[in-house]
Amino acid sequence: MRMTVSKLRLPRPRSAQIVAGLFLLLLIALLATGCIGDTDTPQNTLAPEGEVARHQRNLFMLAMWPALVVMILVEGAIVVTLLRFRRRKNDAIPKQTHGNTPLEIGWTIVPTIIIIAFVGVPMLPVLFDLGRDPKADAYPIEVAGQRFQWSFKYPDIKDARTGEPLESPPVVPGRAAELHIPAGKEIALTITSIDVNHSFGVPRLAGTQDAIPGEQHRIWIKADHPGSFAGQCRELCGTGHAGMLITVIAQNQEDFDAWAKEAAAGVKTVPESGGPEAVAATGSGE
Amino acid sequence: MATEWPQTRKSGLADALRGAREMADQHYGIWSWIATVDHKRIGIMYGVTAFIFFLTGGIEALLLRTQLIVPHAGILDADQYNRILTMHGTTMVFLVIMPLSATFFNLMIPLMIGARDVAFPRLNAFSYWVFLAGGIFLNVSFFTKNVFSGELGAPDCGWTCYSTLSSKAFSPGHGVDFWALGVQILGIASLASGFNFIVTILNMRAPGMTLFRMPLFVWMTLVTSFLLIFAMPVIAVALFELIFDRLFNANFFNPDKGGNPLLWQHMFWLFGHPEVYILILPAMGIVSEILPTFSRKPLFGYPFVVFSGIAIGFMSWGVWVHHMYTTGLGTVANSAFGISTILIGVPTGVKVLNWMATLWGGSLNLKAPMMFAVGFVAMFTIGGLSGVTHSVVPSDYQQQDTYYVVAHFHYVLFGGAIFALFAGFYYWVPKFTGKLLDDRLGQIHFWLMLIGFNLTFFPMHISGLLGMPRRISTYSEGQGWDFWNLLSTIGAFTIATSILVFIINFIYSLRRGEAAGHDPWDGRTLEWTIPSPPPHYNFEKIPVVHARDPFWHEKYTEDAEGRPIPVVAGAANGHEGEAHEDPGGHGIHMPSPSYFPLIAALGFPIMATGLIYDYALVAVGAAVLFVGIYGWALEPATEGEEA
Repeated sequence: MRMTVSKLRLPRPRSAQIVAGLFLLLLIALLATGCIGDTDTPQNTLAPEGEVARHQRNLFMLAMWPALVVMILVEGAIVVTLLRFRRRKNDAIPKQTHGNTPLEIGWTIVPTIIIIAFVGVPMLPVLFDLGRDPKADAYPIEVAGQRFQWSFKYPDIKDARTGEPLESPPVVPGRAAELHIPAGKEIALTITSIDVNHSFGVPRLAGTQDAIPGEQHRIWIKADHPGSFAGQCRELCGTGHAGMLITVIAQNQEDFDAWAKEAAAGVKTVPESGGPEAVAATGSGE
Repeated sequence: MATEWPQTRKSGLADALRGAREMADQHYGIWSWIATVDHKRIGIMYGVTAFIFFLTGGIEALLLRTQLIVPHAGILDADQYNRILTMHGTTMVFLVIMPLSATFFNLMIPLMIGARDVAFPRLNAFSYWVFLAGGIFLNVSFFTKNVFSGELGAPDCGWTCYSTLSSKAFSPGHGVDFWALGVQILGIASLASGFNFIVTILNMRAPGMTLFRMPLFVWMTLVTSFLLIFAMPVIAVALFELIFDRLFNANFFNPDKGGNPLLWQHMFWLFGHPEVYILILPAMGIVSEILPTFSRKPLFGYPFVVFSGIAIGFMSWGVWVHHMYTTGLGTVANSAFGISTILIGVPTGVKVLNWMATLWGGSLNLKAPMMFAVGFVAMFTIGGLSGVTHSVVPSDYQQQDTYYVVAHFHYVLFGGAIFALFAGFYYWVPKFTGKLLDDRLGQIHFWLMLIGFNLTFFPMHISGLLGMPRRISTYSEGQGWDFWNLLSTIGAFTIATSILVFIINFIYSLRRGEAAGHDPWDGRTLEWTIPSPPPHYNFEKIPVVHARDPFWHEKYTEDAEGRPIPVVAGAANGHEGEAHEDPGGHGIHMPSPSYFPLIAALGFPIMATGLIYDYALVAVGAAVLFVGIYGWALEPATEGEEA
C-alpha cells in the first residue's frame, strides 16, 4: 500500500489561527522595538547624549513611526483579506475587476506627497545643519583609523617632551582607544585613515563617519554632559575589525584642562580610567 | 541565427563538425544534457546548480550565526569569519538569487510567450556553462590555502570588497583575485542571458501577444534583462580596475599614488543598486502571476504594475549614493540622493497596493505557492518600509553598517526574493516534473520558513538600533546584543529545518507526487495549455493570443452581468476533456544540440586561473575559447530534412 503524506495525518494547521498568532507575535516584537529607547546599553543609537545624535534620533522616529503604522495596516490588511476571502466550497468565480485608474492614481500621488512632505522636507534642514562645517571656535581633534586601532591628535595641546601636538598612546589590540573631549562644547573632528576604510561611530554622540585613506572628513560632535561613551569601527577593515574600539571621555572644562596638562607632561601615558572590557577578539591582529 | 553552410567549401573541418553534431543528436543520458540547447533543460540545470549553491551559502550563514550565538563563541576565528562572510554574500547574490531568477526565465519565458525556444539557444547554453564555471571558480578559492588546517583561501573583503581593503597590501593571497575574476566571469553569463531574453521577448512572442498582453513575469524579465545589460558593464570596469591594481600594480584605487578608493564604491554601487532590482524584479514578476491565479482574478491595475516596474528600472540608476551617505560626499549630494531614495519607494508601494487589491474580493486558494507569494508581499513590505527609514540621511548615519541594514536587506532579498522564488518553485516546477509537490509539507515548509525568517531577521533591527556593527566576528557582553543574537541564531536553524522539509518534499513528490496534469492551478497563461512535462518543442501549434490571460479567456466567458462562467462544463478542471493529442511533433524543427557553448565557456576559468598563477595558461584558455567560438560559428545550424 502506498504511504502518502496525507495518510500520515499530519496536523492540519488552521491557517487562520496561525496567521493571527503570528501577527500577535509581530506586534509584541514591535513593542519590544519601541521599548529599547529606554534600555541603557552603551551603543544604543536611540539614547542620545549629544546634540547630533539627538537630531538623528528624532529624525529616525519621524520616519519610523509612520513606517510602523503603515506596516501594521498592510500586514493587518493582508491577514484580514486572507481570512475573509479564502476559498470556500462552492465559491463562485469572483468578479473580474481589472483595476480602478482613479484609485491607483490616488495611491501613487498621495503617498508621494505625504512622504515628501512629512519625511523629505523635515529631513533637509537637519541634514544641512548636521553637515555644516564645525564652528570656528570648535575644539579641534584629528582622528585616524589604522588597522586595528584609533589614534587621536590634539593640535591645541603641545606635548611637553616633543613640542609636537599631543597624540594618544597606542593601545593594546582589542582595548578601546580613549578620546578626551570637553563636554558641552562643539568638537571639530577631522577623520582620516592610514590604511583601509574604517568608520568612526560613537552612537550616543553621533552617527558614523567613514575614515577613508587620502581624505579628510570634518564633522562636529557635542556631548551634553561629562561621561564616557562607547563606539567602535563600523567598516570591515580586516581581522581586528571587531576589536577596534573607542571610548570617548567627556569631561567638564576644568577636568579636561587638568587631563590635558597631565597628558602633555607625559604623566599618564597609559590611561587607568579603563575603557570597556576589551573584546578578546578571536583574532585581534595579524 | 541560421548559419548558411557554404556547400562549396566542404572540408575536413566541416565533416568533423557535422560528425560532432550528429553525435550530440544521438546522445542520451548525461551527454544529452551536456550538449543540450533546450531552454527547459538549461532551466533545470540552472535550478539544480543554484540550489546547490543555496545550500552552500546557507551553510556559510549557519556558520556565521553559530559564531555569533553568544559573545566570544570561538567557533570561527576572525580570518575564517571574514572569508565565510564574503562568500556567503557573494554566493547568495551571484550564485543563488540571480541564477534562480534565470532558472525561471529559462523555464517559463518561451512557454509564457508561446515560443518553442529562446532566440539564441546555444547562447543560452553558453550562459549556463559560464555561470557554472564562474561559480565553481569562486568556490575553488577556499582551497587555495590549507583548508584542513583551518586556513581558508577565500576572499576576505566582504561581498562589496571595498578598496583599499581589497588591495594586495591588505588582502594578500589569492582570495580577492578569485573573487574579482569569478564575478567577472559571472558577469559574462549575465550579459549573454540579458541579451538573449530581450531578443526572445521582443521577437518571439506568439501572434497576438502584444506587449500589453504579456504576462507580468515576462515584463519583469524584460526590465531585468535591460538592467543586466546596462549594469554588468559597470561592475566589469570596476573589476578590471581592481584586477589591474592587484595583478599589475596599477593605481586606480591607491591613494598613495593619486588613485581614489572611493572610485570603487561609486562604480560598485552604480552597479549595485540596479543589481538590487535585478534581484527583486523577477520575484515581483513571479508573485504577479501567482496572486491572480490563486485569487481567480486578473492582476489589479496591470498597467500600473508594469509601469511601476519600468519606473523602478529607471530610478534604480539614481539612488546609488544612499549606500555611501557616510563617505563624506557632502550635504548637497546626500540630500539629492536622499530625496531620490524616498521617491523610489513610491512605485514599490504602488505594486504592494495593487497586489493587495488583486487579493481583495478574490476566491483565495491558499495552497503553498499562494502562501509563499503572500509571504513575499508581507515580508517585502517590511523591508521596503525599513528602506524608507534609511532614506532619511541624517538618521541613516546611525544605522549605516549596523545590523539594522542587515535586517533591511534580508527582508528584501530573503523575505522578498527567496520567498517569491519558492512560490515560483511550488507553482511552476510541477509543469516540468509532471508531479505536484505535497501541499501539506509545503505548508509546513512555509510556516517554518516564515517563523524562522522573522526570528532571524526581526531581532537584527533591534541589535542594529542598539549599535551592533555588521561584519564583526565577535562582540562583548554588556552591549545588550546577546539576547537578540541568540534569537537570530535560533531563527537561522529554523530556516535550515524548513529547507530540509522542502528537500524531502521535492524528493517525495518526484517519486510519489500527484500527477500535475496540464493545468493544476486553473492557470491563466499559455504555459498551462500544454502537457506537463512539455514536449521538447513546447507547442504543437503556435497559439494565437486574443487577450491578456489568454488561457483564462479560453476557459471562461462572461454572462450578462459580467460574471465569468466556464465555457464548457468541466473545462476549467484539468483540461482533460480536450487534452492535446500528442502527435510527436513531426515536422517541427528544433535547434540541434551543441558542445561548443560548453567548450567556449571552459575558456574563461582557464584564462582566469592563468592570470593568477601562470600567464601561459591564459593563452591556453584563450585558445579553448577561440575553438569554442569558431566551432560554434561554423556549426551547421540544424540537421534536418531541409539541410
